[in-house]
Amino acid sequence: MLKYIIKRIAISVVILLGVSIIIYTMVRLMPNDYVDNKYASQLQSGAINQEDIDRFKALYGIGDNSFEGIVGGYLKWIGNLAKGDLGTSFKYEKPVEQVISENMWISFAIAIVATILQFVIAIPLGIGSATHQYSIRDYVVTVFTMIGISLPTYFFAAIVIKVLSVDLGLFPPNGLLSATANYEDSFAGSLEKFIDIVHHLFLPILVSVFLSIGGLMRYTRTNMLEVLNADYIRTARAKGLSEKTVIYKHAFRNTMIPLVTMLAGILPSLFGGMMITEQVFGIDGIGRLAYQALREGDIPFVMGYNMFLAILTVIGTLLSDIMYSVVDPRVKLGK
Amino acid sequence: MEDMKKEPTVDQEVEVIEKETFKEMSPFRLIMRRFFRSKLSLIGLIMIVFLFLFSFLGPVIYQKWGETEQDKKEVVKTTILEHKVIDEFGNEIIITQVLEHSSSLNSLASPSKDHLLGTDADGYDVFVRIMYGGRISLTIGFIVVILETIIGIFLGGIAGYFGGWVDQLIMRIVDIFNCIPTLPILLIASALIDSWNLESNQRIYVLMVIITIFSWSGIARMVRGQILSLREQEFIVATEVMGLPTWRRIFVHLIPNVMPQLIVSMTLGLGSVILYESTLSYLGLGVQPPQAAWGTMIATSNDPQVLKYHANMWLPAGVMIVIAVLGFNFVGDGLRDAMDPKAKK
Amino acid sequence: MASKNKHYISIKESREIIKYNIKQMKYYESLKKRKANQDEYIVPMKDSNNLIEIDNLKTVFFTDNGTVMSVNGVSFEIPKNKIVGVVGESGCGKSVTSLSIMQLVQAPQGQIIEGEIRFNSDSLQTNNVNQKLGYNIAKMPTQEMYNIRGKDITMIFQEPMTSLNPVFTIGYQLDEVSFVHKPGVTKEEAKAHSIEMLNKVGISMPEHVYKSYPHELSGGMRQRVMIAMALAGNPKLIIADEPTTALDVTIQAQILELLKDIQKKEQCSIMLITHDLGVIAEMADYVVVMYAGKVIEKGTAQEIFHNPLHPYTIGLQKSKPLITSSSQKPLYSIPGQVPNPINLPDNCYFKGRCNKCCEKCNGKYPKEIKVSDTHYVSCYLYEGSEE
Repeated sequence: MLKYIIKRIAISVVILLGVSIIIYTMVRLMPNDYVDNKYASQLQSGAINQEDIDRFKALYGIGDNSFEGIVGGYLKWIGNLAKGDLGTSFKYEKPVEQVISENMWISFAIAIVATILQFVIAIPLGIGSATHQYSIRDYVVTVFTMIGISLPTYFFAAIVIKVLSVDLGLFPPNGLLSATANYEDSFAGSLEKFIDIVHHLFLPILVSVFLSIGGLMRYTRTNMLEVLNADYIRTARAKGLSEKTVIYKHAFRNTMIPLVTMLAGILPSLFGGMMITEQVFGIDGIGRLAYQALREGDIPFVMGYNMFLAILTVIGTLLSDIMYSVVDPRVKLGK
Repeated sequence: MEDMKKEPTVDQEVEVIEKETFKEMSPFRLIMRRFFRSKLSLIGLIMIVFLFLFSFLGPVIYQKWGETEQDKKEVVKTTILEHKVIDEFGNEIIITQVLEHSSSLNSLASPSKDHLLGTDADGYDVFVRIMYGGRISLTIGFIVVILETIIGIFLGGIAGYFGGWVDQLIMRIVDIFNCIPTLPILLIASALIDSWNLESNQRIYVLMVIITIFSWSGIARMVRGQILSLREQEFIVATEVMGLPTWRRIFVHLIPNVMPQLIVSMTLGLGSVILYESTLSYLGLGVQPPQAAWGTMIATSNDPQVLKYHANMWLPAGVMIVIAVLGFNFVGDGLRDAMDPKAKK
Repeated sequence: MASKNKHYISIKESREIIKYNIKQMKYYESLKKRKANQDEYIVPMKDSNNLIEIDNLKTVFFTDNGTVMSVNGVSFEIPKNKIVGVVGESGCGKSVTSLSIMQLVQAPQGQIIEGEIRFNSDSLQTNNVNQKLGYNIAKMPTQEMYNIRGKDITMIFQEPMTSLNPVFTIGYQLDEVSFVHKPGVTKEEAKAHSIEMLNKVGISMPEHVYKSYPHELSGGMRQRVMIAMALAGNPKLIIADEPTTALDVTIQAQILELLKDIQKKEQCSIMLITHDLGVIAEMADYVVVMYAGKVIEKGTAQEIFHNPLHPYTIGLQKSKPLITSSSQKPLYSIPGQVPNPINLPDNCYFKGRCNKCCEKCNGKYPKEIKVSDTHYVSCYLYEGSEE
């Protein structure tokens, strides 16, 4: 078990190295150079000259865009990473670790709430659809969840904002806190603040959940249908178990096995997708920060953010393998 | 022993009986039946056919406006402003100011006979641009899916068939691409091609290549898994025993057996490619204006005024995306049911 | 193009079939879900010594190709404390008959549309001493069936490799039977009972097996576990659906021996389904021979083996390899195949394969002819030889 995990971690490090090389090269080749952007107006007004800009670029470590320059930059980046230093964000002027750790909580909160809701809603829907295959209930559930998969995030967000926020005024369209509100430093004050945050987060979570239920629901349905045809389900019925026990105990435990593999992808993809959700709803999570950093060529932060997502994926895959051996007694790790 | 001699005649008789009494569905009908078992497959098929006719035949039939043809009609625009005034007696007076000015660009028009879905801020006809946007989305979708399938079959096939270090190497590359967060890397890549200052047509080709590069890994993994499990099966072992050449074993016996799953994942993949393309366009990194794309049309909703008052500018494009992705998903699911050999009749 | 071929169903016919199927399936499914009055499914038994009386049972499958008459008017009895063997080629409806007794036919396509399955339950008492009452399983709502399945009637399936749930331990799956059928049983009692059952089926390390998962056991062991599970509810009838087909020859004999042993000790009946006449000869008291969804001959094991009447039964016996027969002689095989059970014509289904076919055989399906008190055959050859 331990040996297996160590081997897996070793492979993961190789994978992450590959990922970082690809992303670094692409980020360095991006046209919107941070220094050019920042000093464009000053350059125009004559406050500084091109030489100054080249000096700044060298200072930021992005001056040399030749092959050697990029290789050198990458080696420097990876060397610092080995020391636990992700570099300093150009745009936010803080260490990248700090920017990520300060802003990831709101993203995490949305992602985790959305994931839990997704599971709680999608799995029962999937089971119900499978046990009532081709019924009206099956069709209604399938159509609604499939519409969810088919909606682009920004489009659904636009509709939700227009209807629930602009037209009906039920929820604030963006931000985390009401601009005018002032909260006391007491329990009641912080409770009020919390409620305000929940009120603001309702729409983004609604969007995230509705868009992701479909995949999980369909996966549950397909697997459930397959399991329901298995011989051991007939055995369970022959034992005199009620249909409820047969489905929710015997069939469900077996359906869980493939569902666990889904877990690996869900969190990272939710985070990736939140880039747009956060941008549309104006929430300062790491997705939105990364999007803006990306637009302005903030290399250290973009690298940090992408590696963060890649590491989440690697951890997710490893976790799902371990979970697999927990859920399925036939699977022994390391074989 | 007498019985043995009789056998041929008896056999013929059996055949006669069967022909008289027993009819079954032809294999083709059987697949059709499985496909259409779910009503959603039919709906999906209708959606896709509609989409194709609309996007590719539509502009040929409806030639009133071009893709980038501005409506230069002289129009009178009215702006209504309300002013609240409180006079010295405390009465509230509302003054309505009606401003009329003439413009040589019929922009932001509401739907009318002239413009079925109105015009956008540049005076382009929204209805016509939706048709052209569909062309782009469908073309990109199909080409990307075909490209990624070719790469996937090739690399996944090699990995699954040869195994050993070849498999290890290819699968690690697949892992790497699998770990790269798709949306951020597509944004970076599209920003990168911004700097090449390509013509809009060339840019679309580059866009296809980029989406392909970051989405082939799933298909490769699936093909490899399928081939690995097929290799263990008796009929493939038999081809080895029969001494068939390697290429024949791969292309005649292995690949055709992977085809059903491939077709299903291609259909489902079409939907996700269309979504990626429109997301990039929405963020201004995909298809560039003035060329029409559904994503850029939805992006107009970022303007609060447009969001609130001109739903005709962004809503139809979004509906088209939903129709496209939903249609391909429905058909893909239907195909899975139809081609799954394990499925019940 | 497909519609031109006469062998294939036309689109119009196909549509009609589908429409008809949906209507039928809905109807029969609703029957199973209904809340029925007890009177509706309690019927008098013909003979109080019978455990099961199957009377003109018809179980069909509504498929896209038409309605398949899997079990087409089957009648036979299972007396108390006896082993009844059911033989026939694959696809002759013997498995479907057994699943009908359990109400486990693949729903909604498979439905019992006619006939009675009377199950003699001791819990039903009448004032009349001579008359016993039984449940008519064919008409019972599913809800009521839960009390019979796994307790009074249990089943052992053909595939021990896939018939146990892979994610639960053997112990868990055995205990479940106690929990369901003995309300108020404690965990310890359930476990003790399960271990006792494992002991009964000759598992040498019951404590160890109790904690194991199915994949850790061999096929023979799993079949023993299945038998233990079937025993756990103290059944009156064990249905063994080809219990040894998937096992090694050496294990087969052990399992059969075990079943025979258990039948004697537990005082229950066994319905043994097999295509292997050797097994039947070894085990059964009564034999039922089925062909294309019908019983063509039934009688005591003695009668069927020493005095087979139906040409099919004779053929079956001849096709059994014997160690004494000279190797020069090729093994006998019955020519042809089982006819497809859709739209069968109303005459003897074996006609096309029969070597004793005569004029009369073109007529209606032959009636059941009583040759002795226990021996019945459906064949024109024996018309007039009734007792």
